[in-house]
Amino acid sequence: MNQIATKQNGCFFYTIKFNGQMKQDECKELFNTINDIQRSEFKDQKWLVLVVENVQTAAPNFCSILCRISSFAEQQGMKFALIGDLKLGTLITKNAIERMVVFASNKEEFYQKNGIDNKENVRIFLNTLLDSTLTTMKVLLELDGIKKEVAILSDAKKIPHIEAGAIAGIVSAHFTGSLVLGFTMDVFKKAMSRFLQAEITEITPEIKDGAAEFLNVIIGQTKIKLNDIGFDIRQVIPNVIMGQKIEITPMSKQTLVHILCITEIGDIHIFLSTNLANT
Amino acid sequence: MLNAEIKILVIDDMAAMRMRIMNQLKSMGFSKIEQAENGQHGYELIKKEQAAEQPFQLIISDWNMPMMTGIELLEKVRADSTLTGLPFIMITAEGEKPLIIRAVKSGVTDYLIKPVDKAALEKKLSILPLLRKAI
Repeated sequence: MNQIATKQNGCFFYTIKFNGQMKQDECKELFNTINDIQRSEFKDQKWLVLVVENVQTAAPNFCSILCRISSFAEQQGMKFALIGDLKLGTLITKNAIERMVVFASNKEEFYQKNGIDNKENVRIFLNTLLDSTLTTMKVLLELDGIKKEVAILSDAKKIPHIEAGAIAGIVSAHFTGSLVLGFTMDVFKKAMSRFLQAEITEITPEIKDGAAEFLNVIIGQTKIKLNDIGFDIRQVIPNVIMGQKIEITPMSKQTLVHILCITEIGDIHIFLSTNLANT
Repeated sequence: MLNAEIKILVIDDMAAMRMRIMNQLKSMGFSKIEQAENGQHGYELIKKEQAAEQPFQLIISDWNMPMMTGIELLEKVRADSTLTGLPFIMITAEGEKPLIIRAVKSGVTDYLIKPVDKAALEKKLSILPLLRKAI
């Protein structure tokens, strides 16, 4: 069992990862471990959230342990929630303990259901993404002194067109979204010439792949920093996008955050489309 | 000074990344460099060159690749008694601690997290005994 405690948005998250099977003694130990946490850790926390991962079968005493943790949370002035597989949600309903245990299948759903402001997580994600982008550009493209501008784009006319780039979906414990790295063709050629340390005049399929690799490295850097603090970012493989005047349009009800990097080889664009950036 | 006579295999599914690493190695003076696009292809090349008595002396591999990943290749190489001691450097975007621990336990020689510049790669190569040029 791996266990990790983190605090975010007024919630004390206790994440526990099982090895498929939840044993009765592990379940009992779980309550003891939570009970042993220094009470000062719960100061200013409104929720005690137990995040249970990788459980195929719950132990027979799981619901009674949840009730004990719920009573414990109440004594500390906190509400109690469980985040886990839908099977665990069914177990809660079946045992009629929904009043004691608020269930959600992921953090995003938990935040939305309970009206918790997730703005801080989006801010942390954006700042880390920005840092990772600058580091990657510095190392791979030898670009220094990059000026950056961050804006929320709601007017489609103001969204800059791109001609080359890469796109990847982001799934994390806190939110989901899509990330796009974009260039004009001229800037892309300059960037790839620096990346490959050879002058690029023709865009071959292998050169196109470079955009995806570039985005892959940026997300990799972001993952390293954020997964240590419970973001649990999972990434799909990036895809290359190539064409004339490509317009980045977020899905309805999503917000498009634009990071403009002004560099000596031209403008490089990062777009993050997410539903929770609205907060 | 690096011993630029050694034979290196660069494995990455992204051609652009292979080209970058190969160009970096060439600029350090290495000329005997070959490439593979996944672990499976890499292992076949390693065995082929070994059979031809022209074995690779250093493997530089990515982690996430189709067919056979870098860590699977590493485990296969370490399990092969005819490849004992073959230096294996992992260059990957995967930088989370559990993955690094897995690679170390599997016998990786060194581990670099992307983005990697020439200086960082050269520094890692310079500490490999095989690459230190006899004065």
